[in-house]
Amino acid sequence: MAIYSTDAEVLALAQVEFNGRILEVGETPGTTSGYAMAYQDVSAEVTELRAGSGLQVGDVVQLGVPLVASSPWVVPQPDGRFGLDAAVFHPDASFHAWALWEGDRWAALTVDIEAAYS
Amino acid sequence: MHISTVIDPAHGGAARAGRSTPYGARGVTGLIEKDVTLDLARRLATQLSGEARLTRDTDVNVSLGERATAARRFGARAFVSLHAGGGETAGTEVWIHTRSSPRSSALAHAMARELARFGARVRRGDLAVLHPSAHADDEGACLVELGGLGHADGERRLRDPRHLDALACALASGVRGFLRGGAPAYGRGAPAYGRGAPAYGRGAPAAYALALDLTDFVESAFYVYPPGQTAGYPARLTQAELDSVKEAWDRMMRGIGIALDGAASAKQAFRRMLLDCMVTSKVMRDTLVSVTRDDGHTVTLDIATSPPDVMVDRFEFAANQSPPAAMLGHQTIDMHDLNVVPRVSTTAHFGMIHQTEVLIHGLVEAAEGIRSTIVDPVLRFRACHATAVAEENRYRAEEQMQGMTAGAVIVPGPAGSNTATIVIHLVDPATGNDVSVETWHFSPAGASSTIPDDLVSIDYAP
Repeated sequence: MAIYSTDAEVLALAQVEFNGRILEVGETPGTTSGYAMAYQDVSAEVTELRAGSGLQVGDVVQLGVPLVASSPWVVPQPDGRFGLDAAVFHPDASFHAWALWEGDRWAALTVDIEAAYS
Repeated sequence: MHISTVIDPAHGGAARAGRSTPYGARGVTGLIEKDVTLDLARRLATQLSGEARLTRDTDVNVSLGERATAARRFGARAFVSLHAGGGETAGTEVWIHTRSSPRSSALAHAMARELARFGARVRRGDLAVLHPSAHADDEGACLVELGGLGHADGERRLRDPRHLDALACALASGVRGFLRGGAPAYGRGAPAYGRGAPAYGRGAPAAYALALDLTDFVESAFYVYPPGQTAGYPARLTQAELDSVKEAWDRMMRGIGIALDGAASAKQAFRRMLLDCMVTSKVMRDTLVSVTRDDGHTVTLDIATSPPDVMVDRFEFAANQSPPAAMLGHQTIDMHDLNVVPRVSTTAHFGMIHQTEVLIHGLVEAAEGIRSTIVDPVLRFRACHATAVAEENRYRAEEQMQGMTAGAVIVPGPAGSNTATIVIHLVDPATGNDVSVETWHFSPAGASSTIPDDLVSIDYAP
């Protein structure tokens, strides 16, 4: 039944792969994905284009970061609702993203922010 | 009263009696074979209405010789020895001696026919208790090995009085069939089709039906048709399909493939909704059957009404835990929200999203999640979500609904509004244009809450 069986198959859906620097982290919708995708928007500057097209170095983009309950960077917020971990997602933090255009903004397939943990 | 049958509950007591060992197999949670066999033997004797005698009626051991010759002593025509062994994969087996008489063979096959739904087959072996020298020529002698104590699921079933009753009923049918001359107890007549008709096919399923946990399952709600008359009608199903749905329901009730968690009333409401959805949708039925068939992966559905921060459902999240937490294999389902989603379309908005497709989405997404080998949790969700959307669209195609969904997105309301929406575009797959757009409005569940997690209304455009 499964359409995608490996991480690489899902990543192959990306239209663009880039490195970025967070400028601002938006509000959490408070919940995580299920029937509907839950995103928390991040404003970021593109610092390196790794693959694909549609973005250039220096572009400032609104990037929707998926909120998934089991994601390591989704944690309870001070008000008890779930959102991006502020210790990881904060202004000036660097990240690597695989993204696709979803009609009105870029949405991350996923984000690699390992460097921010180290 | 004439004694027609001797039932032999294997093992017993605390010491060997000749070659008869006392305890037999022991299950992982402590169930002992000698107790299972005695319990089942008593139930079987009850089914046979006093025409049966037991080789032991208490927790004592009896030698194999005494057991084997008991039927001859009573002048009984059937001898049935009951075991519940501990093999890892052991299923139900009916044994006869390698040099068994035709009568024993007839008894064994009558028993196997009635136990077919438990996977029974006839085997031969040099078993002392079945040795032909111990049994009369016109006597049938067999040994029923129930298996089950070698694995937790089997042991759980052997602890279930309803399962034991069902086994006893099937065994009694086999004995009676043998005593009548080998005819199947329930006949082999053509299945009776039609809505709600008890179309069981060959033989046994009265016992089989008893073995299933069909809590809240309303069989008469389904429209059963003969094979060849169901294609193109998702509300129609064959008796074979109905049987597989019932098995799936039973597995869900026993927590295999799908486990329901939550308050009893919430779980009951979920089961009723699931049943209603299955009555009209083959995709819904297929989903339940498919998800419950995989007993290596069980997903837990946390059923709740208006759990905090849940908009319809949440992937890999357990709201029923304290505190609620991310948890692999769990999917939280909000019954309040699901009940706001319509079950059928209105004339004005043909193609509106149905409760059934949301339920299909949730079940598929959860099941894919626990089976997926994708490591990154966000990519895993993406993959599971994509499969769930595809199945949702399969339902829409089944219903010949206008527009296909590409998935739903949560849109927070303006700051301070305490509102949120889920926006869903239903698209013509040929042109990519919107056929309609649904906006699901969420508000806080109560006056004291500021979190918009209760679905209150749905707008349709156009």
